Amino acid sequence: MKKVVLGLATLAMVYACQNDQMDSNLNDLQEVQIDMSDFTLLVEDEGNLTGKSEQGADKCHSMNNLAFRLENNPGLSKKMYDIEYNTRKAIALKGNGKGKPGGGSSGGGGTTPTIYTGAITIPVVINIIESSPGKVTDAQINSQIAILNEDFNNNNSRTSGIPSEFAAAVADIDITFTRGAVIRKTSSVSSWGTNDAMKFASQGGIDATDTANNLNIWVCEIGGGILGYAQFPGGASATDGVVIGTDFFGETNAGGIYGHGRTATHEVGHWLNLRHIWGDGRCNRDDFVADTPTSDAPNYNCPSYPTVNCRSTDMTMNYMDYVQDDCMYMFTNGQNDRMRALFVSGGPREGFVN
Amino acid sequence: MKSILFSGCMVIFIMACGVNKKEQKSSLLGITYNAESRGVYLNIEVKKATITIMKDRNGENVETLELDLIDWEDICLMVEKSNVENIKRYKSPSENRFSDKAAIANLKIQYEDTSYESNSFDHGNPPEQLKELIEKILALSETAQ
Repeated sequence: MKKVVLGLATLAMVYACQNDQMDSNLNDLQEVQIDMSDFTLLVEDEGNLTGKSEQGADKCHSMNNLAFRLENNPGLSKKMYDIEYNTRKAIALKGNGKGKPGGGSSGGGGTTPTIYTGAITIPVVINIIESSPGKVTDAQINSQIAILNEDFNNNNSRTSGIPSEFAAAVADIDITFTRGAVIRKTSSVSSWGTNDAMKFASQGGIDATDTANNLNIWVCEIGGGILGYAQFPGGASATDGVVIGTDFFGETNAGGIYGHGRTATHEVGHWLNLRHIWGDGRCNRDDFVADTPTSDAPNYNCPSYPTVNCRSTDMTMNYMDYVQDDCMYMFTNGQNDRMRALFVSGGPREGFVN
Repeated sequence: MKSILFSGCMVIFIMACGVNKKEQKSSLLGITYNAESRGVYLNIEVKKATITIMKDRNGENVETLELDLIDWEDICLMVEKSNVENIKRYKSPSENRFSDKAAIANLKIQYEDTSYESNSFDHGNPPEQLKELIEKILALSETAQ
């Protein structure tokens, strides 16, 4: 008898899955298929990997796997999973032509994820931990804000030199950064490391300011050759923001090829949910963006064009690669969608538009 | 008489070790440890008699030093323990490199006629199975200066 019940239950599940796929074929808004099987913050066996977010057969499998994944991946929080799920759903719906803001009716109680299209202004709180008062100059701060505004408004003068195969992918993110409070503290610590100590007054650093409504940038000596680092959306609010090494903050001579403020652009990209353009793995690892080419490793310095990996030309000039400041100058439309999906109502960055 | 017997045993024992070590030498040809991020470059190449440390992407800061045989033998043993054909399956215990908190590290082992390559992992936090070997290589590269 038990077996019969089990069999019926299995049949029902299989039927439900098939139904979902049929609904999706009918472009039902609520049933768009989101494959999450490649989303993880931990490296998995290569054998478990699937390619780009292919729609279809894996859905039931991957949804059933969620509980297992969360339980076994301490680095993968439910919050980050949900952010990723909503991002993918919003992008999938946009692809179907149904994800326009205010366009989708939300049946079944849940809201339909969309991509925010309005103007976005991000106040920046600058937390400076320096060896002597005023070492990080006002000019340095202003240059960094100006560079962020250039890069997030498609005003980087180097973009005009883009190879034609990537020209159509260039996006104007349309985010304005404004200089907010500048909080300074003098400290003799010469190597803060990357464990977030600089974000806590109790550890000699500066506490974050209202991370729901401000981008917090900490400027300090990181050490170990690290230029800067970020925290993805969905992490702890007390540590939300980016950290930039003193010499790599804004326009500096000391920063050399990293002295033109693009470290902050790259880190703010992470803060807005962008992954490295090579997907942090081999050819079959994706950055979850459809209009960036596949690659299997970062590019450094200033690569010559074309640089080919994984049988396609790398978009080495993307802000999310590892090239020097002067050689990165674009975000793509797909990256724009990923970032903007965070600003809708209920999203992790909604505080900036409400 | 006892001491002669003892010496005899010692000779045989030492010879046996020698044979073993020769076998190890012929199997392991070299190891490369690489750690890179935007502002980080470290490449350490260990061979039977030398260790080469490169700290500059343009090849300007290179140092090659002699490697003691005893250190090479230690490394050979650690490689044997690491199950070299499995290193591409070892999981990175952390993912700090995804948000630039750590440099991206890779390990390549040239063993017999095959090159085995690990998955990427965080510099400073290697997969458990490679920890001892990588710590040894890093320690050697640091004492080298």
